Amino acid sequence: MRRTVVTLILAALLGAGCGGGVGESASTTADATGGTTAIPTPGLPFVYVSADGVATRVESAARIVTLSGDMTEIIFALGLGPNVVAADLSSVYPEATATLPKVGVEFMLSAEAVLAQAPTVVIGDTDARPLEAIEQMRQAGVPVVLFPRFVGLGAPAEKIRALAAVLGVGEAGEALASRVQQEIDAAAVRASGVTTRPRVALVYAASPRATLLLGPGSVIDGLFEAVGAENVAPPAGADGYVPLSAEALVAGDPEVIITAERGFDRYLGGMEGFRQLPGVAQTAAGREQRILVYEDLFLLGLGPRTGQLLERLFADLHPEAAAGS
Amino acid sequence: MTAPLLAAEGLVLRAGGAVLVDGVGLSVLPGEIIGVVGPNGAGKTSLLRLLSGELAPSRGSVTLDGKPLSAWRPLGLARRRAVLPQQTLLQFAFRCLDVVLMGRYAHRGSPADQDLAAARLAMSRTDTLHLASRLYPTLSAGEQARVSLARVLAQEATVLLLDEPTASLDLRHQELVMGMLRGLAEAGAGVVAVLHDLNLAARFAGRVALMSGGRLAALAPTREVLAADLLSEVYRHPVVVVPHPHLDCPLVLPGAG
Amino acid sequence: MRRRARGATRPAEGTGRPAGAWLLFALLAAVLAGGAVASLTLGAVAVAPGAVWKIVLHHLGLGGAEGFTLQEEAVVWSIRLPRLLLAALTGAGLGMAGAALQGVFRNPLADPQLIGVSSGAAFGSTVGLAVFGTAAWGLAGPLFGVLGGLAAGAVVYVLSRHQGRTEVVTMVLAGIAVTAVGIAGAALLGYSLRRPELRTPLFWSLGSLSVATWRLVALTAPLVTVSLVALPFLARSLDVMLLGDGQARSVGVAVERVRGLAAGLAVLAASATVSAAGVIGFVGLLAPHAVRLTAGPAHRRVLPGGALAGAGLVVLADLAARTLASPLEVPVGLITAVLGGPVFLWLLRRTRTLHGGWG
Repeated sequence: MRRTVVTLILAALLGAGCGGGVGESASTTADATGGTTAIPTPGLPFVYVSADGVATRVESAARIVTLSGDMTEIIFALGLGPNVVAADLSSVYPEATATLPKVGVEFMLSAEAVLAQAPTVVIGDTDARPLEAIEQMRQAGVPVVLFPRFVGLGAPAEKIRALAAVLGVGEAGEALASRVQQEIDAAAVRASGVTTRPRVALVYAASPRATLLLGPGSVIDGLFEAVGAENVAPPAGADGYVPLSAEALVAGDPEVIITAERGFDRYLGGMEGFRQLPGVAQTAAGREQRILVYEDLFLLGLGPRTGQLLERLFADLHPEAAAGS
Repeated sequence: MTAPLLAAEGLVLRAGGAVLVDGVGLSVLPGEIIGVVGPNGAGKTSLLRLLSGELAPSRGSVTLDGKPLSAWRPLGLARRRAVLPQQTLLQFAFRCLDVVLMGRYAHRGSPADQDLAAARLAMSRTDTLHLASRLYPTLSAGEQARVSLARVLAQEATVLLLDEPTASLDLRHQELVMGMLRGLAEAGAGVVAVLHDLNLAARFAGRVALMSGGRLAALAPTREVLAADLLSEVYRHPVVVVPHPHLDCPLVLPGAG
Repeated sequence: MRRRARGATRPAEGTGRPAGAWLLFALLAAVLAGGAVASLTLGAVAVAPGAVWKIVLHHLGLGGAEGFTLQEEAVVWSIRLPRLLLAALTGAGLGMAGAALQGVFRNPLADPQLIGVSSGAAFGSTVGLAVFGTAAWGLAGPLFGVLGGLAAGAVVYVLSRHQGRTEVVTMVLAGIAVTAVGIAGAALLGYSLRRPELRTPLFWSLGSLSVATWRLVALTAPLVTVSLVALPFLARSLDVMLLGDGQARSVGVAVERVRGLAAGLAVLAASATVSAAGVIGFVGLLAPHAVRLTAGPAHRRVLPGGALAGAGLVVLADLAARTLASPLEVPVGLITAVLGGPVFLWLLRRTRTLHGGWG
């Protein structure tokens, strides 16, 4: 028992350390920003049925708190950046987010930290935990909108439209969604012209203990097909991923492994550590060291930059074709 | 003929294949002290536990005031008969007065000052009044034994079943306790005391129950039981019984081995 | 009334104990009150005590809606007040349960977590929630939690009884084993079923009061209150039972009935708190022991005193839990473990030297 306690103390200290440098959430700033420098939100009030079945009525988008990086990015892209008063730790794009007060992580919410920002709407998704924190925020009279998990290449446009509706900027949303969808569709056209389809796997280190394979049916469903590659990871389970296993990786034998930056650096220990993951060394990608690293939100966010992601991936996977075009 | 306070008939106790008590019958009259003696393992403690109702006999019965023990409710039983076991293991740091007051548990309707008075009287009788505020676990074995006895006395029961009440006591306190028990008996109590010291039985017991191998080797007035040949046989060692030089009772001594 | 009178009139032996007891209770009440005020005013949103008071009055229908902002009201009424109440309930339930279990097991080292009751409750709660979900306000959680706690407690009790006494070493070992199984079971179920209401292994093993809502308080309060009210009636019988089963019986105590009732009520309270807030360890050990050290082992003081001390302890520990690494939260059970672990070890040693060996 004692050993467990010591381990947990260390874990907690590490966790606190990782979350440290975040204390700016304490200010109860009375400055009523955003809403008064009127960014018009004609679509409000709006009622959205959240993913947990609660009909949530949004009346004002003057002070927005977001709990997920991809939502933050879209909200900024919709022009509502000045209205965002606080975000979670995964909100790293665009650069303006760096100066935002942070309210912790989505899967370990503190209702009080969020309420301290006096939000008029809170934007999150189904990963928000604990459920009681959501309940507490709602009981405090703050609308909390929880979006479901959007999957696949249609996801960016869906997300944009949904967010835009909830925040009352339907027109801007439509414009953005159309543009993004066009970029994505253009990528598919590009991909249809290639002759070789490399085998690819996406390995994602979500936490120190959880390294995952994102295959068909996961959040990036269709992504690799749209850049002329073949996703050889096993189909995603009910949660949208499969834990990394040496067998699965070796069976698929990807020629390229794609991974996200933060996990790569923090949890896997860079290229050295990555090559020691079970099965990696036995794959073509491991042997030829074709391991591509992209920033997390860029790779997995499924938002306004997905079109750019597809272009980049295409270039990285088909250097000969990109050189020609 | 006065009715016995406690009457036992044909008691048999079997446990784990052994017979601990074999066909023992006994009655306790008001005003008498019965000393239960015998070698180790003779079944004295088992007999006492059968008399108190702590153990149920395999055969036979025990009645208190004519009613079988099983028909008594615990509280009523506690008001009529009190039991002192061989040792009290109390880990928690209660004060002695609190330990003695535990004996008043069965007296539900009794007001606080009456309980206190009974406790104090019991403690004065066992020369433990000065220990009232001391913590029980910090006492010596003898002091703890006397405090436990005081707890038993505080129950104000008519029948007292005592397992070696004098075992840890020094000479003076042995005399004190036995003399006190005699006083209680004269006031109407019935006392059954397992004694390891034959001479205490000789001095204070009206009748002696001599146990051997689970059986009653003898149950009779003291002088009759404390006979040299009988004792030598039961204790398997020569015993000499002589008249006490100063008191009107026998004196039991070990003989030449 | 008579029971309270018994012993209230003390002989003039001048032990100072009764005065000590009142002083201790006053001190504990003050600590709880201070902790409560701090809990309501401190946090990411600083709220003045005056505003807190006005908010409470307003919600009780006794005051107007001035003197505080909507934000302050939201934070105080929807978050801090339920959290404070749950913390106090949890501490009181665990404190009194620990005191009662120490009487039942006749050992000062018994505590709901140590003897596996808490993790049994965690497992039971998880099973209940897995099968019934959050139907009926999530009533399945505490009800199955109590069943799980009873089962675990029974197993440890039976294993550690030998010749009429509880062997402390066996009790602790059996408790460790049962705890491991219980927590692992809860974690496994939670992991494989992946439903948020089943909570995380960290929640179960180290507890958290961040989940406090009025609904949770309403679920937990009746169960804990039943025990808080009923257990003190067994105080005198529990005292006498410390003499040993045989002697207690001969003095008139219905030993089996008292033991069953006391254990049942203790497990009820402890399990209810676990299903609401996870396992918060060492409270049932620290709180009664603090009272025993200063006011003696009589259950009429240790039971309510343990509850009061436990409430104060958890309220303060939770305050530390949510302010030390703000906005992240340290699990409250971690804080009680850091405090309680060393105290437990000291207690082990002290019990040995004071009473000459394992009981």
